[in-house]
Amino acid sequence: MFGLNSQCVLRVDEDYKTLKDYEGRAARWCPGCGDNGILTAAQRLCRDEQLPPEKCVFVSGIGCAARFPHYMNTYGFHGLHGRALPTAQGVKLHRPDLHVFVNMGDGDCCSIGTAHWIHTVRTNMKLVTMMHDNNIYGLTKNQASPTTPFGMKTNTTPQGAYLKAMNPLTVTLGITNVSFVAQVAEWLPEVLYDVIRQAFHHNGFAFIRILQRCPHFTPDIFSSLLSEPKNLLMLQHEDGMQLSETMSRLYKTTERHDPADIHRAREIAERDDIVPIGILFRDENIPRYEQIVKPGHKSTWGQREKVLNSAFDRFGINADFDSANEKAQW
Amino acid sequence: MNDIDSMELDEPTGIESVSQTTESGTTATLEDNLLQLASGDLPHEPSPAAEDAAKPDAQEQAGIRRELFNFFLFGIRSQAPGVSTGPNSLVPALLHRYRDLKNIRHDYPFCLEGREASAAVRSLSNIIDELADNVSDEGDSGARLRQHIHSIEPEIRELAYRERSAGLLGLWDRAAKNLLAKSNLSQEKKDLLRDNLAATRRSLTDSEMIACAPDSAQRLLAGLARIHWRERTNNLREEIDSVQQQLTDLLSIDFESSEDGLKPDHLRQATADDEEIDFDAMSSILKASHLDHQLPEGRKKRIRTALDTLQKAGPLFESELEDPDTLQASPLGVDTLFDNAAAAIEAYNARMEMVVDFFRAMAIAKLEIENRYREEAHDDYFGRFDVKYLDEHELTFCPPVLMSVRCSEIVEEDLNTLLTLLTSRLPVKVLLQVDELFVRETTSERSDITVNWPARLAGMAMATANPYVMQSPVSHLRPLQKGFLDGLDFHGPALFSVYVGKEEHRSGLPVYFDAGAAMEARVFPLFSFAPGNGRTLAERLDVLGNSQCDRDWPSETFTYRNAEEAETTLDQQFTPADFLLNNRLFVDQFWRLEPGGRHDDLMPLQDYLILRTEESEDRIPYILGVDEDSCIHPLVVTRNIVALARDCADSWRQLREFGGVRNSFAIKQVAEEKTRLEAEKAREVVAIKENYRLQMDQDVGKLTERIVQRIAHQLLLRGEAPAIAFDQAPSATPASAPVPAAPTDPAAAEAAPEQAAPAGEEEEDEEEDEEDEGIGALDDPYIDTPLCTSCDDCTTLYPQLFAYDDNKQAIISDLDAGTFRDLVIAAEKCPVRIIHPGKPRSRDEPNLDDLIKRAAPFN
Repeated sequence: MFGLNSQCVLRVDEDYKTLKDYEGRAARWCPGCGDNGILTAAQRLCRDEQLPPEKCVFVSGIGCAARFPHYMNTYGFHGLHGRALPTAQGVKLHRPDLHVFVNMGDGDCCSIGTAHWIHTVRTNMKLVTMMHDNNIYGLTKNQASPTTPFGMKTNTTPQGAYLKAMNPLTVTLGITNVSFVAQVAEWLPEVLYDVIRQAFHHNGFAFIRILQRCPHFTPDIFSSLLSEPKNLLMLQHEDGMQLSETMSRLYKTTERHDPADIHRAREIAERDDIVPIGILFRDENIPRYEQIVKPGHKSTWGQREKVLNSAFDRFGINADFDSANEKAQW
Repeated sequence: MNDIDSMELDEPTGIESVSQTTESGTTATLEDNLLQLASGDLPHEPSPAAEDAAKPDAQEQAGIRRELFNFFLFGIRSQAPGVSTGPNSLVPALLHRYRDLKNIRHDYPFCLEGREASAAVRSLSNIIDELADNVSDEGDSGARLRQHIHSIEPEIRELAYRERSAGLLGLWDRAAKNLLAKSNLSQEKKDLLRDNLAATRRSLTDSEMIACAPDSAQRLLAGLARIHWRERTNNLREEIDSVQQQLTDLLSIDFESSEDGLKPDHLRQATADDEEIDFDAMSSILKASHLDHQLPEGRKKRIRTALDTLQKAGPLFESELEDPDTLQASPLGVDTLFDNAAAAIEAYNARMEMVVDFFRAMAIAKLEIENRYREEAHDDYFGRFDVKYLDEHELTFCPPVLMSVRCSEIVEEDLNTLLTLLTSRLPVKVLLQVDELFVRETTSERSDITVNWPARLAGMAMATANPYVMQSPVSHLRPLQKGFLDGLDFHGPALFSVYVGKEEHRSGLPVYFDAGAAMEARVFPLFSFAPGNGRTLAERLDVLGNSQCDRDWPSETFTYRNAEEAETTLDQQFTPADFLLNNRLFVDQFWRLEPGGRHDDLMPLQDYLILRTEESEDRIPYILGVDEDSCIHPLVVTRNIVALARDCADSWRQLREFGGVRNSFAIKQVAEEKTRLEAEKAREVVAIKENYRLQMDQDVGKLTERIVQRIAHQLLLRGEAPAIAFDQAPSATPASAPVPAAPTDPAAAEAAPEQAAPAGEEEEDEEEDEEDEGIGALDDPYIDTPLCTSCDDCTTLYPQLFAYDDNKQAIISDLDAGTFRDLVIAAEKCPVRIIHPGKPRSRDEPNLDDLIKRAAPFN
């Protein structure tokens, strides 16, 4: 109309925001902690998208990673252990205009929060979930988590972990309505940022497992991946992750993987010999819970009174029983 | 949660739509200052709670139907329950999203700049974009500056619309002040905004900004005419100066050798006042030798007259007026707008007379300069010299006369003169400002809406095939600019019919949308008719500037929230009813229905208009309007509006056909040609089939004959091996085909390239290794910044030496602030091993050998 379209509407936020605008308190993670890199990636995303800080919410549970909201100059909710996801769902359901991010550790997500994790995947609400996986309970000083590798000695498994580690990727890919699953490593800042950005633009629940070193308890757990780039399998695709020229030179073990192919995604996720990096699966067309179940209009006081009166009339001593019955069709 | 409590909660302005941008998946880089409308802004249907209030029963329904028909047929409105009156600041559904004009980037306000007419119009958005593009800094500060530049645009636009015309710099200052006053930013950020805006302002030049208003068209025409005329006469002005100079030279040389010129006093003035020269003696010597070379009196007189004429004609070719703001400038000013045909013709005649005198003087001057003027031949010629003696090129130097009339002020005699003008050859350029498209004709029995016929003068003028004609609403600046310039270029008369609307008739929408709506609704289509472009209608007429030309009404998707709050879309067409909704004169032709007043016989006008008369008898048409609270209301329209819509559709279809879009003659001809070609092809197919059948029969016959012959031959030979070969098919002689020379050992040949390939790869690898070594062997320390994980190790350890960049990734901030030892320790500490200490810069550091050894693995 008039040679104009909605793209001609100029809405300028007068305040250009830099990374500083998204920085909360100084991070108190240990120097060398992988959480720092994830924090920077999240702040870069907010800066590059120029998200208004007051329209962002970072929700967390308990653990080192759960300190995340404190270090973001946005709204945040440092919640209960394992309960980050239901909190985030509540926020999103009532304020669909907000950008909701969730930060959980491996213990938070895969242990005490497992039930919420599974059902949040199923509800597919638009959330970006970053699972900081350092394979250990770091905040409480070195206890085995569900993703601790078999045989690793911790305070709770002095003889070495008894069980094979859980694979969060295969679990997530097996849940009904799964719509976005990715795996990245915090020491690959470019890839980390790219995947978080794509997760942010995903139309549904995005689950990102981020391999992260704990400088105190698992400093060398990923050393084979750091020193030998060939141990990382880079999943590249036009619709998925794309490596820069520099990264392509460094990481030569690649596979062209279409994120729409869930069967191949599951096969890749199950591999023990190599660690996949990139977007394993994405489907933009899974229905979202907050779109299906919209909070409806509240009935007016008058309407409520009418319904209540007709209900009471059924039991009223002097009421005309038949006419009350007729009215009470609610 | 204490950390979060302290954060700044000030809400910046204009943020409402950002969340929706990301929902829809667009990346919010700086370009995305152009954002999608937030879905929160979507218009909505009234909530069902209100609808529950009263469901009319069958009897009430019949009553409502009767009321609606009374309104539709006779315009009679009753105060029936559930039905309210008056559109009350309703706008057509499709225009609701554009209510906030200041945030909409369009061609207004604009300014006129430069000396090239075709590039003279610069809109505010162009200026702002250019400023933003000129920011060279790609980092955060550059992005912030661009954002600040963009943020002032809506403010300037709002001010420009309020004041209609003001200088850009003045507007900029006030807009910056407003922006800062309403900003909720911290003082530090406000200062930055102020500084950025002040710095940007310095690169601007002051020009008058013209907003979209009823007088914009005439200001644009006057401004363009001035620039256009200056451009056209540029060379001529230089020529006049040169001729004047040469004529003056002739006269002064003559004077110098005249008796007066040779007087001692003049000689003293003409040379240095030197006591040593005896000017009396000099005078007497010169007089003796020079007096014979005097110009004849006749020639001198001619030269003087020519000079006078050139002098007088000067203002005609001067483009700069003393006060460009006044439209009532000198009658010679090319941008003077006359308000009646008689004055325009008078001005034309006066100017033409001057132009004739001017070219006569020029011709005489040139002859005189070359001393080729022969009185016996030229006196008669120049004595008869008039307009007929001017050639086509010279005629273009008669400045066009501009005329501006308002449609509502035109009287019948004016129209006659106007039509005479338009059918003449005079370069009179008429701006017809159409302010009333339709008028009410009310008698005691009925009230009709009729077309104000001067509004359709453009169509009539086009029919005469003589003048240049352009019709456009004032909102469409680019077609206006092109039309004005083409019309000014055209040697004959031109008519610019521009819809500007009438201030007192407009209700909710600003001029820009009112005018735009006139075009979209097909009541005032855009077209240009340029007789100079060629001889055919296809070359002359252009209607393609209208939107969706192949349709009766342009349509667009209308998105809204229905009563159940679900986002819904509708294909909504823009009809004359939508246009008239903004006109106070026709407010009684719309009836806003409340939910209780709905009826099943109601139907959207766009669907109603395509029904046949008998089908539409039981239906009542309505359009959708949206009020200021974004609530959607159906508006029943009267049959007057329906008749007017049908009339507009008819005239649009006719214009479209003239313009070559869905031309019925062409369609008919194409159909006939198609039928003819199909019939021809069908005949050809039949003939081919017949030929094929005949050929087949023949071949089968021949083949049968040959088979029989062969069998007979075989039978005659008896006992010889049968060698039936009916024909020498190519497949029968594979052995004779030339066989390419096969490699002696194919396996080896295949293996060879394979062997070669890895060798090549190895070489490449070696090269890469060498390259890597090359990088690693650098003497200066460096960091692989893109690989930094922001772990804070190095920045905590040596905050003077290391710092973060805009992306919070480590860089060496000051190499002098640390030692080689510091670099080596940081490299050892870095968990991702991206710090490369290089070689020591100073040989004075203790334990240097040990440090170099420790640094080696990181280099």
